[in-house]
Amino acid sequence: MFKFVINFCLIFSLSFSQGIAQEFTSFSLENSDNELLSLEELKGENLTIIDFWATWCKPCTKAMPKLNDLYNQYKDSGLNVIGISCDGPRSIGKVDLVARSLQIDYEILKDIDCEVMGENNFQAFPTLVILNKDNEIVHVHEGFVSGDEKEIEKKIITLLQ
Amino acid sequence: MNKCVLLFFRISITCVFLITTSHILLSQLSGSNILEFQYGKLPTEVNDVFPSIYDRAVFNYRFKKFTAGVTLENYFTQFDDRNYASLSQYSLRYKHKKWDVKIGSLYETLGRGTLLRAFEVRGAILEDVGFRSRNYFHRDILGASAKYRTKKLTLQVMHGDILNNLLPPTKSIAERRKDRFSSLSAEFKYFKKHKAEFIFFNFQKDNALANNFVSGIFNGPLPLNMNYYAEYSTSITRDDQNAFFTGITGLVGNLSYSLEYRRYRNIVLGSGINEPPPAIKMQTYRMLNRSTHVSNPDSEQGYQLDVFYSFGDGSILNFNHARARNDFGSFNPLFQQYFVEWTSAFGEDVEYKLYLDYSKDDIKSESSRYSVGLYNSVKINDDLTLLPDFELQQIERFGEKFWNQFYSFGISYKSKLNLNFEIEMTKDPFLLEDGNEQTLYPGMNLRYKLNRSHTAQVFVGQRRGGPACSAGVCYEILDFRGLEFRLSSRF
Repeated sequence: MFKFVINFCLIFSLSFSQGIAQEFTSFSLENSDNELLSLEELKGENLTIIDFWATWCKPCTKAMPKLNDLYNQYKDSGLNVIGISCDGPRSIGKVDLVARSLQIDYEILKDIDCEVMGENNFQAFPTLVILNKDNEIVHVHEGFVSGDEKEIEKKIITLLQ
Repeated sequence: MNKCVLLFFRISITCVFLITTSHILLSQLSGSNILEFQYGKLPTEVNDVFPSIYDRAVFNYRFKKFTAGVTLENYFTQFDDRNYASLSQYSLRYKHKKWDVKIGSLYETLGRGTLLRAFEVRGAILEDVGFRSRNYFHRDILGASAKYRTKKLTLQVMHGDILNNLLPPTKSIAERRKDRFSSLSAEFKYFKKHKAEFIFFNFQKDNALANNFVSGIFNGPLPLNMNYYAEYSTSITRDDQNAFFTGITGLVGNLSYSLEYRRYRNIVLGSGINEPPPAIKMQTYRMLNRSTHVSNPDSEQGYQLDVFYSFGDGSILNFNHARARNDFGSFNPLFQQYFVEWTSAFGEDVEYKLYLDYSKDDIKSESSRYSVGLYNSVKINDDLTLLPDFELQQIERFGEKFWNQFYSFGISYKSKLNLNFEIEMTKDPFLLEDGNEQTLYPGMNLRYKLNRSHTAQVFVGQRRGGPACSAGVCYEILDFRGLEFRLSSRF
């Protein structure tokens, strides 16, 4: 029981030490054309949104068209959006299919082991992460219900200023 | 007593140190934690309810091109034989330009998992009815991997022992990691967008004779907006042990489609270290998720057709048909499924998904299974959304028909707070108790995001167990009646 108490206290103290911008880990993943693309190659001039999603996740596919609208609206202001699919072997073949049916314009990358999400300690789908110019995490949004796109847009406007 | 005081003092000092120095440490230290408290039992259990605490903490420390990680996993109940406190994972990684070297615990997949599939189902905790000890649902490799990757070439060498995730951490490492493998893979790009990969895979279970496999994977674009994927793996040690999977995806105007075919022969390796793609749609609807066909790679062939049509107003029609046939000698069970889903909206505030499904599953002795469901999202204002859903299912098993029903009503305040009331009802003869006509599973879920790092969840009620599929992996969950509290943190 003592070990548990020690572990819990350690984690408890760490988890309340928030507010420090963490740097997003760099990555290189392939898109549907088998092109290997890195964060450095894809990052926006001012902001980068990274959207962790999966084809079987209903809130994810609901969020993506709204995110696509935001991408088209703010790409000229230096925003780029990168979708990282965490589909495993069972559904990775559906990634292009779903992205095409949702008419997504931004880059979709495939991470069959969901390594990038794990490295950055995210758990939920969808998770949307906004990075600044220095690849620091400045905003995290988990889950998606109607109306969330307005909250995300407000954040984008604030961060672009 | 003195020991306790000393321990408390040490913990306090550690906490104060971490909080006060976090601005320095946290620039490189990150992690996550899941803490889950349960107060309840299996509904059929005669013993009293018992409280349990499960905790999993992941720490990563980054320093330049190196990352070190550890995972602490703890489980405590009043039963000593179920409890453990363990350092369940540790790793060291060097990642720089074209090199990626990992030592310790790692997750890797070869191809589409035909020969090797290590995975982590995020946030899922596994409990087995035999051991009744809870542990994280993952299958990792304890070993090493070195990868050299350029835009046109990837070379990887791996060696390790794979976790049998059905055995809890109360068992020894030797018992839990009896499957050992070594692999060498090379991937080339040619004609710009085409890719070929060749794998040599050596597998050994519990020090028995090794089994060697080779695999070839090809994928790339085709004319008419199409892409192809083909993978063939075969044992070079034993006869009739192979797997073939192929698929095409394409786009014609607003119509996108995929067609997949598979044929597997005796390709279950060890305790199940691989997972060839089942080519069955991954369903998240409650009824369909529970009914998902679990592929048997010892002898299965089948296909899947998936079609999406996008309408100009954002509506999407999805049709899926899948078929799988097993060969067990005199018994050759068939699974087939027809699924249609319509996603649309009334105006800007009401969105819905309607699905219809017909399936037949000989392995489960279900000669017919009809399902229908309607999932809605009704936006009241920018902050408040109502989520009323229902599903109905009629199954015919051994000539007898019975119903499953599911009703849910959720209220969501932004994505910050979600309150959900749900009830499942079943007349499945396998699940009826004490002469009752039906079994009820009422429950309430509350999810609250405290801030960007912490999410609290509460479940109260009775949860129906059975097969479940998450992130493409299927497993068995146990029934539960009681209260469950979970705190997920990221730091």
